[in-house]
Order: sequence, then structure tokens, then C-alpha cells
Amino acid sequence: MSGLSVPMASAKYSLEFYVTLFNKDLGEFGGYYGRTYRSQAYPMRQAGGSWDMDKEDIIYFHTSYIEKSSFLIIECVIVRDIAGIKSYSSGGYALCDVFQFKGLESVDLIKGSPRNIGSGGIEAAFRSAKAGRVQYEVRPFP
Amino acid sequence: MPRNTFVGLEEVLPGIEGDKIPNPRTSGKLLTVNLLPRADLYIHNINMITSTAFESRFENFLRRMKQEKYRGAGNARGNLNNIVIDERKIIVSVNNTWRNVVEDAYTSMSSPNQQGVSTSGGSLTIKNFVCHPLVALIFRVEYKATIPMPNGNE
Repeated sequence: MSGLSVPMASAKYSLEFYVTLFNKDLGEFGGYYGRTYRSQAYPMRQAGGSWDMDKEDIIYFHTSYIEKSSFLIIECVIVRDIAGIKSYSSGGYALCDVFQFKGLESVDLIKGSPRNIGSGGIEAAFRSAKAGRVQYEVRPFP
Repeated sequence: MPRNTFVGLEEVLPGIEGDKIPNPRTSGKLLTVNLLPRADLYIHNINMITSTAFESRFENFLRRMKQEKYRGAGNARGNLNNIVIDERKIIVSVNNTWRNVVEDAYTSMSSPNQQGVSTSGGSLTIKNFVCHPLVALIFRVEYKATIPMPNGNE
């Protein structure tokens, strides 16, 4: 992940990610549904000119709606902790196919906040500037 | 857990063994969840303290609501004095903090006596109640009133 090129020396950085469901056919620019998941804060490490977080998190959900127009939106939130005072900023978001089950996938992290999708639509989001990569895998259960 | 709700491995899901979904990386299995023991629950002699004044206020509220609706409708109005509560129900749900689990059960309540106490007409059976401190019984009161319609129906 880029975008944190000038970190403050006295601050600790960690990453939370929020996961929610989005369907591009809901309303004019699509809409969110379901409950957003918020992960724990995972420490980030600096690797060359970018930041990395290689912890794995496993989440479950069940649904009766498996249209391929649905996406998983993973928002990466950077948590900056200076002497116990935390501030949060968006590190970008990823649009992930959720009901395609293609195994381990790596997708672009798009700069900005996923709220941008509400004003520009999903196609505009795909064309936006990139901030990094996210890896994920969706597995079905019988 | 409800549909379209993401649940992480750290989140508490009352009703399953250990309260959390086991990590498939350490348990060696993809998804094995064992449920806690369940028991049937019987609830008898439910008494609900209301008051006749409360019910009158509720009937008046319905009367005013209908008056508003019929305002300007000429003679097309029913006899609004006939609005009465004719059924009181207690509906009991079981909730595990994420959603209602197991089927709701309900029983009818009598009209309140002079002390304002309604009593249940029968006992309630909750099947497969999950025995866990974070699983709650939720009592919901439902009133059913008959409202005469302008065409004479109810």
C-alpha cells in the first residue's frame, strides 16, 4: 500500500479493514447492503517505499442472494496512534467479485473512500487511481 | 446469524459452543460449529400490568387517526365510536443479540381487570431455547383493534 510515504516517526500505524456488500444494480449508482464487518487493528510494516500488512483474517456470512452484480468492498483504514490518540484515514478500497469463487484473487486498492462509488458509480471507481493491492478468497460452503 | 452479515472469528455468537466460530486454520476443518444444548421452555400465568386508561387513550388515538383520514370525505365515514381493542397478544421471541432464533410463540391476554391486570389465556411453549446468558426472551405486546370502514365493513 502506498500513500503513507511520509509517516510520523513518533506514531504507530496499524490497519483495519471494513468489509461490506455492494450491488451495482441497486439504485442509480448501486447500493450497499448487509452488515459491515470491522476487523481488529493489525500492525503495518514498512517495506521499501510502501506499507504492508500480511495478516490473514477469516470472516463468514450466509446469503440467499448470489447475483454476480454483487461485490465485496474491502476498505483499508489506516490507524495512526500518537501517544494513545488515534486518527483514522482511508487507505483505499478494493472491489472484489464475491460470487465467482475463482480461488485466491489479487485486486487493486483504489484511492479514496468507497463513498465515492455513490456519486460516480462502479465503472468510474475501477478507472480511479490505485493505491495498492489486496488479496482475498471467497469459498462457498454446501 | 442473519443473512448478509459478516462475522469474524473474534465475534461472540451466543448459541454455539465456545461462543466463537473456530479458526479453520487451527481446527483443521473448514467450518465445524457445534450448537449448545437446547431445551423446551414453558411459560405459565403471564400477568401484564396495563390500565384501562391506557387502552382508552389508545382507542382515542385510533379514533383521531381515522377522523383525520375521513376529514373532507363528506358522509363517507364509519361509526368511529365503535373503535375498540378486541385482542391483546403477548408474543415471545428468543434473541441471541444478532437475530431472533427459534420460532416466536404467542398467547392471548384477557382485557384488563379493575386493577389493570391482563392475564394469559394459556401457557407458552418455546421450543429449542438456547441456554446461554446472552440469549434473551423478548416479550412483545400486540393490540388488535376493530375499526369500522365507511362502507360498513370492519
